[in-house]
Formats: sequence, structure tokens, C-alpha cells
Amino acid sequence: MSVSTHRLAFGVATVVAMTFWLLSLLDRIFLGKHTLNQVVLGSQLGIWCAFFSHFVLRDSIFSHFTRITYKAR
Amino acid sequence: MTKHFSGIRCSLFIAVLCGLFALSTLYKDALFERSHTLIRDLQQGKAHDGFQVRFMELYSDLTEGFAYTLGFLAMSPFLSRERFWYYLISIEFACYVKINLKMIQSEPRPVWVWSDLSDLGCSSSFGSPSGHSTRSANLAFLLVLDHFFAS
Repeated sequence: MSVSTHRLAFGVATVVAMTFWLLSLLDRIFLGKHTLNQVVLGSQLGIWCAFFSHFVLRDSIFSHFTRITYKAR
Repeated sequence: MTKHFSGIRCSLFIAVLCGLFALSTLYKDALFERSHTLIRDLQQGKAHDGFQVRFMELYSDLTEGFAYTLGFLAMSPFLSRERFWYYLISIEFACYVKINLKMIQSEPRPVWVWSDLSDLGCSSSFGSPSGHSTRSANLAFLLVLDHFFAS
């Protein structure tokens, strides 16, 4: 896969995921499953987890799986 | 494994999480009360077997945890091994945090509090924080961060 195709696929996936997220909020309120404060807190928590994973866990996970893949070969 | 793991950075993130929860106490009651009229207005005039309700129920089922797992299994041939495990671990981490916070918060769902609202479907766990919102926001921001801020 070329770099531009890779970037395009990533961009499309991001737009789809963002739409999914916003539709999820409406969906949960419409079905009477959650209140506004619950979906706001859930979104905050999801965003926090994404930032935590990216800035704290990502490098460790990537280097670990690179190392064990290299060792296996 | 622990080489890149920064204790200070981790503590900072936990402090931010505590701050978010402290912040949520400021808007919690006002939004909870406001939700009653909002949900009632949204559900007003909608038949239980109508298209809109069925679509929302289907969408709700599609954004459950197992759908994410199936989605990732389908995507696995197109992702590098490191990235696949990174996404999977991140999503499971978000689920783990969410489940524990639900037990700690123990906040009821709206249909448990207001009897005039229709419960479209069945839920047995506590309401706060919303698991669907956590999962979908987590995935969207994982992709954004991985796409725009990857080192």
C-alpha cells in the first residue's frame, strides 16, 4: 500500500469513527439508556484513554512487539 | 518494556482523570435533570416497532464490544502487528477503566428513575459513564492521534 493510499484510508477511517461516535451519543440518549451527563462523561473518559494510550503506552507496546517479532525470526 | 514508561507522565494523566471527575460533579445534576425532558421529547410519538427505533436499536447492537472485536479481526491483515496489538490493548484498557468506574459511580439509568420514559431494549449494568460513548470516542481519538501525532 502506497503512503498516499495509506493516509487516505486512515483519513476515511477517522471520519467514519468520528461519525460513529457522535451518532452513538444520540443513539444512547434516544433509547433512554443514558442521560446527557453520562454520555459526556463517557466521551471524556474515552478521549482520556486514547491520550493515555498514545502518550504513555504506545511506545512500550510498539517496541515490545517489534522486539519479540525480531527475536522470533 | 519499562524503558519508555514515564512515571511522571502517568501520574500527570491520572491527575487529569481525577480533574475530569471533579469537573463532572459541577454539571452532573443539571444535565441529569435536563435529560428527562430531552429523552421524553425524543421518544414522543415514536412507535416501538417504528423504523427510527429499530434503526437506533440496531445501531446500538452494532456498537457493542463484540462488534469492535470482529471489526479488528477483519482489519488485522491490513495492519502491522504492532499497530494491531496497540489498538486492541488500548480498547481493552478503556473497557477495563469504564467497567470499574461504573461500579464506583453506581449511577442509575434514566429509565430506572423516570417511569414515564420507554426502555427500548434491556440493560442491567449501571449508567455512568456510558460504555458506548467511551468505546466510540476512544477509537475515534486513537485514530486521530495515531494519524496526526505519531512519532
